Amino acid sequence: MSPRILIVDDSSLQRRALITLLADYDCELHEAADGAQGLDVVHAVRPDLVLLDYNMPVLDGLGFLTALRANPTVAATHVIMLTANAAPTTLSAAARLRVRDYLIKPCDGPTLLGKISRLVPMRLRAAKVPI
Amino acid sequence: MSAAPDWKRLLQSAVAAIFNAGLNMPLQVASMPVPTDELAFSAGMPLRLGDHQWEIRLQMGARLAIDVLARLGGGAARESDGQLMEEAVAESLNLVAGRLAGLLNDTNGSLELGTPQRLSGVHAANALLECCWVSDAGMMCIQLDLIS
Repeated sequence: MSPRILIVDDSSLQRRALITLLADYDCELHEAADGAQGLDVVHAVRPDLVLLDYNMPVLDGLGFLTALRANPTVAATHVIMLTANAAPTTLSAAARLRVRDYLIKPCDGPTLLGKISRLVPMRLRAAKVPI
Repeated sequence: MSAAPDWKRLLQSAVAAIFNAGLNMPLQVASMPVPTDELAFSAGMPLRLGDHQWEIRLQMGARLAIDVLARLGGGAARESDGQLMEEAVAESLNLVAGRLAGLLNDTNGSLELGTPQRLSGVHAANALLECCWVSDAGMMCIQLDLIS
């Protein structure tokens, strides 16, 4: 079964870039524009992995993580945090909420793919053969 | 809160971290805005530090925005792709402000970031601080204003 990956980022540009990066891989992609929307999608699709922005309107990354970890049905979901805020306080707060990994923005595609592959199986989609 | 942050130094550090290191896009600090007749795009974001509300604004020339967009993974764009360019500028501001928060939170307490907003223009006359950069792809400036 293809891994389900949820991208939570208020930047449509960042979401589009991540979708483009992952488009060649056999995975089911979902997106949300803030933490509150992200929680709704988590409960609807039960993703295997969340790629989570830190600074977002409505509910930020740490708020999303706090709510996620408080709900036993989804608490074990893997999360990789993507943040421009490299402050030790930010990273330690995320670590306490059991973020599996983090990446400082702007993200390097191959590095992110490597981190994703350690958490969920990433296989290239079969090439389309013209009939 | 003790002394006011050294915004200029912090901004230059944040821009260097995002553009020079993160995007591999070397920018040179300029002493003033570089006159240009190319199209420019702007984004703004409210910041709260302690009891004070600030606003940070980023203005970027079209060629630089095109370069940023490509490096952020947004694909190729032309000057006519106004919405894409605005997104590139807003995301650049988001990244710089995020790094600024990281730098400030280690020394001056909690900097809360607002949501980036597209701006129809910049308000140079109001800016308390203006920092400018140039590269082969054009110019960029950041303005900072104390709102309250």
